Amino acid sequence: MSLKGYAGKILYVDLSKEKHWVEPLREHVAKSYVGGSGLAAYLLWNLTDEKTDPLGPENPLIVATGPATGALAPSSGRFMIAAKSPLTGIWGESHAGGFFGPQLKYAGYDALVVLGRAERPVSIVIDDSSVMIYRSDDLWGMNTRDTTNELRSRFGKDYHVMCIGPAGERLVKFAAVMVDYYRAAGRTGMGAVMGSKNLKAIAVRGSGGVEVHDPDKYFEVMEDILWRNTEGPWALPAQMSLGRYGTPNLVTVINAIGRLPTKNHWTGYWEEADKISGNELLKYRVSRGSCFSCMIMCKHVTRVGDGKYEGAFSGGPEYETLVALGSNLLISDLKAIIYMNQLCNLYGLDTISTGKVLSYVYECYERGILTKEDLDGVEAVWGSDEAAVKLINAIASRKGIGDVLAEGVARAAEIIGRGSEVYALHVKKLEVSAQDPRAHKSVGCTWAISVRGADHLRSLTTVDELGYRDVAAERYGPDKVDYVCDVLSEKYKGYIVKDQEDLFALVDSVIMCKYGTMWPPMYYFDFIAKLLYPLTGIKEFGDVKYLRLTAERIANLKRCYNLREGVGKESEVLPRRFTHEPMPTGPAKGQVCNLEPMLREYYESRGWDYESGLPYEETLEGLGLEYVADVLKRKYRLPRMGHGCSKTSRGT
Amino acid sequence: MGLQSKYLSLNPELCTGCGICELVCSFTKFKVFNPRLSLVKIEYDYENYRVERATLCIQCGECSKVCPTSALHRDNGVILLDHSLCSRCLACVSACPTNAIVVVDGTPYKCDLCGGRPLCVRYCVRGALHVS
Repeated sequence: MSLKGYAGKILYVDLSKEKHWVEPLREHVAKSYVGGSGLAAYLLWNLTDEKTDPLGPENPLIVATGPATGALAPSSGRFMIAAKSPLTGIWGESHAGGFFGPQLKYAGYDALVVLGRAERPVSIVIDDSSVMIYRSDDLWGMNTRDTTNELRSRFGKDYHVMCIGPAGERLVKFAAVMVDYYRAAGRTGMGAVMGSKNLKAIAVRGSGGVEVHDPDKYFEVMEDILWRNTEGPWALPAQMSLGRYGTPNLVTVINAIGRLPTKNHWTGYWEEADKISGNELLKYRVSRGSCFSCMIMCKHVTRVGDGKYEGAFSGGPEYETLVALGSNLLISDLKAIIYMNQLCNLYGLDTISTGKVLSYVYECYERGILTKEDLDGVEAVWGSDEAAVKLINAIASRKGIGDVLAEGVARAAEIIGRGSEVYALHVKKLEVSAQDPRAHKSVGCTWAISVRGADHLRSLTTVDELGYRDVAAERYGPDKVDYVCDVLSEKYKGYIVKDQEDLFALVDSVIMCKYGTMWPPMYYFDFIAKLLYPLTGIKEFGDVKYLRLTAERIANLKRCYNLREGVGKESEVLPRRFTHEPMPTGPAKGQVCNLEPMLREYYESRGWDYESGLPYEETLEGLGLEYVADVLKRKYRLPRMGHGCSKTSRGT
Repeated sequence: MGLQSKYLSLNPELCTGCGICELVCSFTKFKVFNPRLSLVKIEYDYENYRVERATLCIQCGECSKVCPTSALHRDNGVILLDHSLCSRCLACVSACPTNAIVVVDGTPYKCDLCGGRPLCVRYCVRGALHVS
């Protein structure tokens, strides 16, 4: 293929047939879906349908890079994994940093699609064009660190490894895929999909490179990236916060705006937040690291030097983990959090889902819905790290109550019943992340419309959260600034969430990190256009309008994927806690989230009909998604514009 | 003047293993992003977050001593390789005490400090790489 920036090939490995083959990445597919998440959405739409069992051999595991991967774009060491999610039953997607993605690209593949199911445990070992299905009975049962070390000692230290631990093997529905030891593709249970395929690990190294369409022009972009990271207005803020502290810096920042999830999201403010702050965590930091090709470098490893958790050592914990296993459970002992983070990493568990399952148990215990007997002797009192460790062990091994909890909080609450459902905090069965829609209204919309369920990485906006008036004015117009920058106002939040969802659809396809695009808001559509054209030579990519349309195409395709599964607007609701229980303490005291006006705005700007919850046929046609409309029409009567419905305005 | 060598060195305490130096180097020298072609090489321990080994040209001149065609010569403290004179015998590769000479399609390449302003140093945001 003449396209630059891409490897130009997709590797297919069929574990049932023990065969592998290569197909070209077609130019029109690259042009329409970019790569990464967009490419995966296109592939998954075609490879699955509503009958596909997420844990059946027919559910493909897609591992994808983007055109920016390995090409010194900002924070572009990332890659993504997609499949139909066993946790939610809908679009499943999870991203990870590290070094694996670039190696896959250097080995010659934009994406890898794993089909079928191996009869016995295997790993896939890729060395450029050599692809081996490697018998891994002896790796089965190993934790993720030992698995990674084993594969690297057997095949070479220059291999990079993504693998599952015991949790993925036992099909824990929120099992993570661990990458390069500590990077987690955590959400939506991609680890369980690997487990269902008897696929323990994928190891890869590559000797090829990424070619560039216009090296001189691209060098100018590189100089711009360097400037933004060293001298530009965001350079110092990024280094002083993310660089110095990593994501744990957020703990005190977020507590200050009253949005720090505390006690199963009962409130958003915690008096003891300082005990788990970024500053406090520095005491345990061994070293600072980074993902491949990143100038922000927010990673760190921590070690506990004394006490009952002496010797605990792992990458992280990150902000989300500090909340999920810390403030959310009222655990203020950082040593315990570092240990539990390591435990989750070794088992291959998503720390966010794990923490929210645990806090559900703690709240049920407090309210007498679950007793010590129900919990196999565990006393799940707020603040107990002992109980948390026991429950994590039970989940990973699926022993006793752990077998129920391993199904995820939504399903567990269904099984347990007794009114416990209201304490199971999820949207579309994905446990909520570490934000609170009462203190940051747009989060409500973000969670509700997110294609993978309640999560912060599909469209979280920071211009309102942190009040960046100049950025808001530039992006949304000076007339909207006052409302946009009011974190407690619902007005215009549907628009900005749609805009951010489009941006992230593109960012996740290119693939760049959310750091630099979410916070600091350093790169926007205009930068991506500047980057992609000299990189790929695809002229359309240099046109911001075309890129925005492409972003919408990707965002719409994923939403339509869920519609095909029968999951639409009726599932775009928030847990009652955020809409009916006023924030009890902290700066956002008294607030609830009023979702409806934001959803209306969102649907209008998306070109979807709010009443039916369906896309207008014209919207899909305008995006080149006629083939998607044709499939949906078998199930729904798609509305057409101008039939008494208000005309939609595209863009923000 | 001109005899005092300048060379790259690395402060391992500041290196995070991001690999940007390798990307910039391969792009500058070969117009492709490929760490394997980089003339600076840093092996990083991703489990413990520390540098295992850095392979950098120290401009010691051992390579120029064995070059039969005088393709390698010292210029203003830096050993330069004139490819028009190179016979591709690869004696320099054997002579190099730090294994810093990279062979691509049978032709040797070595660090020339980018004419005095090495781009790997410029792009090392934390300042781990520097010229001594």
